[in-house]
Amino acid sequence: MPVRFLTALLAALAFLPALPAAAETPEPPDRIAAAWRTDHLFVDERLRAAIPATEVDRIRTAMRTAAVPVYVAITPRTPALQKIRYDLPTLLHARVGAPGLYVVAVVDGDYWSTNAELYRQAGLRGRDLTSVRGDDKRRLDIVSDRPAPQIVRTIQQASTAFDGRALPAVPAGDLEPERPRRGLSVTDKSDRAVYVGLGVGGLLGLALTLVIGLRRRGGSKRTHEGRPTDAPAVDTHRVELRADGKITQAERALARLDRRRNKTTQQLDRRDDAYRRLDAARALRADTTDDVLAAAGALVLARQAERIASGAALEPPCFFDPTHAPGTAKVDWSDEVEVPACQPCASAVRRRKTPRGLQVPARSGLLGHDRKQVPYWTLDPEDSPMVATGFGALSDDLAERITARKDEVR
Amino acid sequence: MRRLLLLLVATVWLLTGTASATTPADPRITAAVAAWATQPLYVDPDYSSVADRAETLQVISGAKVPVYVAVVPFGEWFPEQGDIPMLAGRMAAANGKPGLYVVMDGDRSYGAAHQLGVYAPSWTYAERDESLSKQLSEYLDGVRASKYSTPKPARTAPLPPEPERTYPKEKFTVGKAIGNGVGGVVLGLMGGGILGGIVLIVAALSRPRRREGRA
Repeated sequence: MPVRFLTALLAALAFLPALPAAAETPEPPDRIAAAWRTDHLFVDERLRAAIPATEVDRIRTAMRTAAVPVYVAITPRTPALQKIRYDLPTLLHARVGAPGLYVVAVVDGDYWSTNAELYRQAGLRGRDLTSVRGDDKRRLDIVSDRPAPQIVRTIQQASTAFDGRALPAVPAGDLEPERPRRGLSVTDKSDRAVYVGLGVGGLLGLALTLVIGLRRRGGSKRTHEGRPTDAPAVDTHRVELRADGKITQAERALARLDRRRNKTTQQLDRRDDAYRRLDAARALRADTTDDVLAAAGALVLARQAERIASGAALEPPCFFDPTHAPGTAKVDWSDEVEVPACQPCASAVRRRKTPRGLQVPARSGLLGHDRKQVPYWTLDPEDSPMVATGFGALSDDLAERITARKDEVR
Repeated sequence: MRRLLLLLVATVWLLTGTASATTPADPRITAAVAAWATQPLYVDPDYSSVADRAETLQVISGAKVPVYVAVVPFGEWFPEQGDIPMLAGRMAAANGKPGLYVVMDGDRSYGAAHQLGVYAPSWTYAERDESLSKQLSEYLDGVRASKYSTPKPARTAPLPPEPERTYPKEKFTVGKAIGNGVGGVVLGLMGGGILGGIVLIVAALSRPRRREGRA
């Protein structure tokens, strides 16, 4: 009998460890509900060894001080929970059947998430747990790397929802550490130095390029426009030579006229007119030098004097450029003014183009340091009788004006 | 009868005492070792929905080395604290048989060779909705016979903590500021010069048009 008993006992001991594994394991909700019959805090046996006692004690303390019965389950995330994870509080309440707070904390890796439902008996007080959680401003700041902070906070929220007690402050240790404001990193500072340099360099580069470019253009313009000033000596001199030649021709023509005897009144008038113009031409040549306006005026007056003394008809100069051939054609100028013009200038005007005209230097630029070549008719008429009369093309009183001006100077 | 009771107590102490001395009291290890006594595959009851047992057993039987598979939950909040190869090693130590011990959770597969001269991959990741047998097959594809590794017991203790690497803190000095600033100035000069050139070209191109318009 003892031998049989011993054999049976040893056999039972041998198979004892294998029995639970072989037995049909209940579903997680059934497992948890069964465990809650003895303890309202269920910790999955696979996690039990790794959950620190401090965490468990904190949860138990919160459960004891809660306004409602609390059921807590701590379990790992497994495929068995995949589909019922969010329904677990409801499924557990259906199995337990008692009012209270049902909290399920699930760990996945090192991340804890909590799902809870508050079931209460009929009454006139209380708020919805979701409403209280929504009002809890710090709920999103609670750490998720430990189970106790979220579970304890949920129990506190449920107590507030149940009897309206004030929600206590979250312990600092349960809150995510605030990230220290480290300011700009070394890379940020380096980038900022580069950007500042880029800005300064960009402005400098732009300013330098514009200054150098504009100076060069001004220089080239000066060189180009300065041809009359380097060569104004050439152009003005040429006009002066032509004027002097014409003055000589006019003097000869007048000398021929003077040698005639028995001059008619008309011839005497012509001689006087020619002398008047010749004197004005000489005055222009004597007064100023290197002035293209004066040289051109002298050329026009001498040419007219020579023609008058020779008995030819008086011809007005070309309004646009008095050094051109005389203005034998009439063209419309601005404000319905008709001016005499040489054939090339007249044809240009008829083509609705402005003839280049007699170019004279004029001050320009902000400080008036720049010399710019402009058509003479753009100058102030007050400054020159040649401009005022269009070299006699607009009014045939150039000689008188020059003589009067000469008298004023005297 | 008293002798019998003493014998019984001694046996129970011997069984539980020796077991706790070699491996931690981890229900996953106990259950896996118990299951491996009959077949080299243990599936935690919570994972039975994702396990294709027959196909997985076929993969195990087709392997060139003895393979023991445990499909269990693991992670940072289990006794192994995220060191899954150590969990495999503890399972191997508890089982005591040479072989390749593979721990799976449906997403990842970790392994440890115990008294076996093979190279086993540290871990493999499963693709989406990949069956357990396929995951195991892919893990075993990475197992290579090694001439250089001598058979030795799998690791059952945590690795020694790695010394924390410290790096000299990078500082932003005046020299760096000047260097970067000068570099920026050079680049800016080039950019500003290009921009100025474009402005001058556009101005030069538009001048004849203005003259024509005025004429």
